[in-house]
Amino acid sequence: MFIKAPGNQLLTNKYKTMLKFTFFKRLRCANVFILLLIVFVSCALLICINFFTIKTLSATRAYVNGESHYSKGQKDASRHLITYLYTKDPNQWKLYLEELKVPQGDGIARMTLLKVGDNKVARKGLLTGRNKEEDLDDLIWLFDNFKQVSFLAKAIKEWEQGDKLIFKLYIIGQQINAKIKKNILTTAEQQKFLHDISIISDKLTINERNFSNTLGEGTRQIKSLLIITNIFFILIIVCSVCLYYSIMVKRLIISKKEIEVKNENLMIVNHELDRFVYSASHDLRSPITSLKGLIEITQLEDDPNQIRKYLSLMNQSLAKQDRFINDIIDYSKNKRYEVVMEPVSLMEIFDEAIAQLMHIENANRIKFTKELLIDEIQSDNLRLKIIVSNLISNAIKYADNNKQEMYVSIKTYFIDGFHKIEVADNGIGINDEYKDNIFKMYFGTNKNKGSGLGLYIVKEAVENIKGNISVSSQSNIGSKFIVTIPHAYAS
Amino acid sequence: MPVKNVFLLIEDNLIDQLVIKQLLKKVLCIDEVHITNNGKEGIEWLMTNGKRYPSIIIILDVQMPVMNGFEFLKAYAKLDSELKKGNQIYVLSSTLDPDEIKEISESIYVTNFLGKPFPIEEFRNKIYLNI
Repeated sequence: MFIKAPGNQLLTNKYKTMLKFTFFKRLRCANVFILLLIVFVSCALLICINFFTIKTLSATRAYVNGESHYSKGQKDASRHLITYLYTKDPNQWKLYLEELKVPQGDGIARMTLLKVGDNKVARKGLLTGRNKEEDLDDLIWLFDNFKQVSFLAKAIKEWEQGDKLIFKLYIIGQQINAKIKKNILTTAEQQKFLHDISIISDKLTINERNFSNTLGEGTRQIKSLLIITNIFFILIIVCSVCLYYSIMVKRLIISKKEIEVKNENLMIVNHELDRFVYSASHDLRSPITSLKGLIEITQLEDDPNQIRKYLSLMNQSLAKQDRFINDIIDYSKNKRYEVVMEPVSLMEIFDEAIAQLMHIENANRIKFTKELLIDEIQSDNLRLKIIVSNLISNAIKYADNNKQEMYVSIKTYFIDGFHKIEVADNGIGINDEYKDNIFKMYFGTNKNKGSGLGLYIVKEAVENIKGNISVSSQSNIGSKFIVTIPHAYAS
Repeated sequence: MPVKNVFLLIEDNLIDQLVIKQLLKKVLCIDEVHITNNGKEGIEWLMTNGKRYPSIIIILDVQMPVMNGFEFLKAYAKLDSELKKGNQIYVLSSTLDPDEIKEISESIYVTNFLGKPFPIEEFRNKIYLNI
């Protein structure tokens, strides 16, 4: 059974990718907040600009409206004055005064606004000018805030000239009234007054037209400015929202992919775990079933010699299970325990391992030679014990009983900045076809001798201490395992 | 009543080999049990000796090095039908993996699946039924 557990390399890669992801995530987070801020500010600006522009436009409309009342008042007043000039009807005089109040009221309002600003007099003047009460706020607001702005300043100037003409009209009216009251109005004077009134009226018409035009021009400018700013901000908002949306969608896609990959990994891990449990349970059960079988045949046996042989086999079966359980514990320790760097004596580890392994069949026939050029190194004690114990145990288990002299040779030395541990034997060797698989989980050429976990655990342990392991072997001649451990590494 | 058949045991575990051989001998009085250590050896034995016997009862383990029980069944399927005629295959394993048991039971060459340790009484009843 071949099971590939996720190696350390894979984990390191994953970690790197994760770091990358967090970096980009941070970057993207900042981007998103900036975008949101842009959208918020743009919206706020757009609301303000639109509010004030509409207020301005509404106020200008009110001014144009006011101007039409002003003109109408002035025209009617002129008409009534002329009629009065010829008919001397006092009614016409009254109507004249009445109508003249409209431009006069506006004039008072203008002067007050220029001199002191918003007050009751100004408002009353505007009301007299037949402006609607609802428009007063806008009218005053625009006057106060924009009187320096070119288009309104120009309009106010036209208005001022108009007011001067209105005053002249008022003076002429007073003269005409005085003459009519005293009855000294001559036809020549009538002609002269008529002439004056029509000149004033013509001039006023020009002023009034200029006033309206200036305001109209301002309105149009404001309107185009408003359209441009609106388009500008709306574009900013639309772009930001699109960008935001695309970032979010991208992020969703990325996280979806991440989740899919994670899910897949989890499923693989789960599957591996299942296989592991079944394999482990099989390997744990097989010595028990062997034992049960042995008991069964022992019960059928009468020959005490045979029974003794069976008992020894029972012992073997139990020893096998014991080894397997030890292997599983090593496997789990290797996975769970943190790597601890400490001074380790290789001599002690070798001696301890050999002493513990002497119980294996034929172990006492094997000659052990040690050549330790290095004894104490900085490394992880647990991992080194696992590595050494498994390699020596393999060397003993796979010794070649046909050879006259069986040996296991252990060497340690320092070369090119690396510590090397070498375990060589003249055992049965490894067939070329198996060499690629010997470090895989549950690979074993002979389940009578091993669990298939030993070299897999060795490889994991070597990777844990950032080393590597290599093997050179020839069938029937022997095997040599070389473990390379970095001299100094930052864990 | 003793069964006179040829038995081929394909099993890598030396203790299990001994146990099965002894059980067959003591309970079913069978002396002729050929033992091979893995699927590959089993196929080789069948190819060289198969023709000599009209029917062979094969007891097959699943987890073995070199060639396991599944691979053996695949290789067995490719054998000459003359060699397969009259044979029975009993798969013997201590596995609890439902996937593996299902795969074994689905093979057309497998007569029965047996759990370890070798259930000799159950085996006897089954081969009497099938002969």
